[in-house]
Amino acid sequence: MESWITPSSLAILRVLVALAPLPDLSQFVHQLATPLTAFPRLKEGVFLYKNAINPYSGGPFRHSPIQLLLFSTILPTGPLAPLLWAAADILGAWCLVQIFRIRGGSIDASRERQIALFYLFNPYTFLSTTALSTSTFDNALYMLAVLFACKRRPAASMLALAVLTTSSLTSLLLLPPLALLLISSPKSGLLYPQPFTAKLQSTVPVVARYFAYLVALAAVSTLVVGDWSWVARTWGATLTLPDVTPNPGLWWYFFTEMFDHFRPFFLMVFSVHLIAYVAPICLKFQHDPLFATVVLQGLFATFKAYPSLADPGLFVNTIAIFPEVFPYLRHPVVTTMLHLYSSLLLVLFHNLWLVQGTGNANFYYASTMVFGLANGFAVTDLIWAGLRAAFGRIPDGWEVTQT
Amino acid sequence: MRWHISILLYGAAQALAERFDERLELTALPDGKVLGHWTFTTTLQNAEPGLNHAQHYTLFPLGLGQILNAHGASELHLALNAGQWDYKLWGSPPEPSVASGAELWTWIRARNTTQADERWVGFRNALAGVFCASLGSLDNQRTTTPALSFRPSVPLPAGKHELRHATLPAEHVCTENLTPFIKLLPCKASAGLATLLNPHALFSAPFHGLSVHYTQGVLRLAVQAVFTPPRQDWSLHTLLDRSVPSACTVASSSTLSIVAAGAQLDPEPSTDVNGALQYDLASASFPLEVTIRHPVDTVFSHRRLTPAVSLRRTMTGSAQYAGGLLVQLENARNDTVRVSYLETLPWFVTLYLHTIDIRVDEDPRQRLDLLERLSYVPPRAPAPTTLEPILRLPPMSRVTMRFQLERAFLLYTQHPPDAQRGWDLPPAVVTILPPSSPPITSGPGGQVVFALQGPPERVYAKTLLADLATPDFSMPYNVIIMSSTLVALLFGNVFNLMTRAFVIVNAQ
Repeated sequence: MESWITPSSLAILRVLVALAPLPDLSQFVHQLATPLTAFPRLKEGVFLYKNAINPYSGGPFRHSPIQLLLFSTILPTGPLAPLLWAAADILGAWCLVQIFRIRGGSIDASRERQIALFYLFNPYTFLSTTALSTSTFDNALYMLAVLFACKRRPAASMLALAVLTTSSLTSLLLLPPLALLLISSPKSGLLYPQPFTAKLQSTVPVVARYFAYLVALAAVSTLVVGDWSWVARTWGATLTLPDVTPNPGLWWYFFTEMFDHFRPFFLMVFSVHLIAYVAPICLKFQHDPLFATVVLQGLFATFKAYPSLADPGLFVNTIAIFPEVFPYLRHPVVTTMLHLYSSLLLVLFHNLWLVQGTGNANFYYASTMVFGLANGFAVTDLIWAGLRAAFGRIPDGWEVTQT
Repeated sequence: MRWHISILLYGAAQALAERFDERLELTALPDGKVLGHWTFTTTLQNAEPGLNHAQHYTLFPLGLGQILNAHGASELHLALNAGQWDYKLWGSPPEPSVASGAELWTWIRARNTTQADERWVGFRNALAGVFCASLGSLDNQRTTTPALSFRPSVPLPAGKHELRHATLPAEHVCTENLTPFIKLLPCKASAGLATLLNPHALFSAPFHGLSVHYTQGVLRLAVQAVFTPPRQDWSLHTLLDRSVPSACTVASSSTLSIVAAGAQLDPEPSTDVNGALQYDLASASFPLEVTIRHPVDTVFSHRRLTPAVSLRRTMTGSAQYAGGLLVQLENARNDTVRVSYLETLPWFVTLYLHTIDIRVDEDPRQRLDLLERLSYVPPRAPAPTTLEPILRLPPMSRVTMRFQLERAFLLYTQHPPDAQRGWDLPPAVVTILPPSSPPITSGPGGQVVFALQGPPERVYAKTLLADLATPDFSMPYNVIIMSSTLVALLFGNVFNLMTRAFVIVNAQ
């Protein structure tokens, strides 16, 4: 029975599902998309741009000018759009399978099957893709960047990361682990950690390449738009949170209830908090930079400014390439239950608050708290397992703890 | 007293010729109500543009003249209304600005947008002081600059001008506004037709409104109200609880006009102009008490002109974060009518223009060909949306225009004190344009030239209430501590994992 389930057949199945009539997912819009990724906003921006109105002069559009350029010229926003989104998902799944092969060194068909199945049909990412949120492209670009880093191709990897940064500023913080990955090896170093031997000076051309690409893309964006108004509306949104539309993240209600006097300080704190994770994780997991990349992505998915369900969805998808740490996870069932519980509550309380009017914002806020806890538990458990894996099997009666 | 005024008039005639006319028109409406329309016009002949002259006025109100001069306002229109004007029953209003609440629009002479904004702030605050109305809160959250509607009624003087339009739908009108309004009149409330402005009668009328219009040396103060007479046969006393004690001697013309087909008036009117029975107060006997009787009460043949286009606007959708805007424009004429539809929405209501849907009657086809031109200024907090399509309405048809919209989530401090009431959306304005598109050109000094005969007709929609999702206002501290606790918990876990050393210990 299992022989016909290959990654290719799953891809075909995914395309068929994409071609099926879309259910109306508009009631889940706040879970599946954010003001930076929502499809109606993209269509509005393209419409305004085609009618000679600067979409960044106001209105709901917050996508990057590169996406504006592509979707107003070659990419479809009409009936063919679900196919494009499914193709991006399939690309991401293919990248993940390739990364798993490079890391493992050999082909494990049943695992690859599972990885592809999870990536294509994980409800978090699957529903986000069906809702046509552009986080699908963000995820695909991330997978491309990591794949090219595993293949030791700095130009392609940094280009993918630069394009990803134009739509998601938080991805800038993925530069350090990817640079380390480029100069070292994607092979698993968790079980037998080796000291980091590559010279750090060799990251300088990589970093320089990334910033060169980023500057070039910014120049292209300015040409597309005509002026610099896009910077404040896209990147500025991540830093100043002008739009407090509810999402499964931790920022929106915090900054809704905040008085104006304290707002700049806490915006700075939340952004610095994200930056603070980069150096420790990269240092601690210098023996396995691919693991550091995935852990950091999970932390950003929990704590970034405008997360949707696609970001923790990507994290859950990518931990499938670390089967060596699964025996050492301390509470996987708890984490899974928390995820299940909070994702159902998110939908329920959102409806109660905004559609039926019987609940209030606190219900939804509480479910985002539980969701944040679920994500946080997943990441911390993975970090523990990654560190614990180095000890391997230990005799009965003994255990590994921290002092 | 009269010879004092005569001497002043003589002195004034040497400096600046002023003229004051007043008129009251009482019209019987088809549903038995009575429309009262007071007009008080003060004309400055040979006035400098911008009132840039020595302001020795006798009839023209000095306070208003100084405000107009100081802020460079070449044209001013202020309306304070309460109630809902029923276009179907009452026809076209004599004063077209019948939006509920306060509406202020003005053409300001300024070098650039910054100076225009500065002058606008000073201007509306000064007017707020004069009329005791909250016009000062017509801030950048409510001010727009429509491109196609609200063109100048007369050609503007030389110099660059900018339009500022703002509405405050929740503003009330009461005696506090009427008293300074009457103070702008030469005879105040002691003589002439202004004595009939009884606040008790006026403010209990189903619709009442004050308006101030200034264009190029002509100041027109108007009051329009729709009264409910207690009986079909009414008099000035039963309708307004007042009678005119004496005529205003400085008025060049003072006319009381009654339009009621088939009615008998007592005393006899002096003239009959096209069915309007008029009294000239200069030659009437005082106190003037007019009684109207309808001897034949089976025939009630009062016809009023209704506007060519009727407008209905509603918000659809029950979710608090998304919905739709539905606009129905009905053309009752036998030929095509071009209209410009002005929609100014506050910044937190975002229209999705790409979802525009135009249909005619029951035809399911999309009729985007009816859309001639679309002027759109997207919202950028706090500036509002300005949407101005020009539509061509087919004869005897109903055109339905739909948009999807999204309602934003406001910060704690942005919500008003009564947050659950909702926000008033300013009324939409339909301006009926002439059949061929007149060229809107700019003169050499940047002046706007608009080739039209008379002001175009305007139809206003009802104000809507937008219900925004509110956060829990009792929760700032709780939210901050709970979110901070979660972040600290997770950060602490990660920190521990990073920094603490690992040891293998014996489980016992």
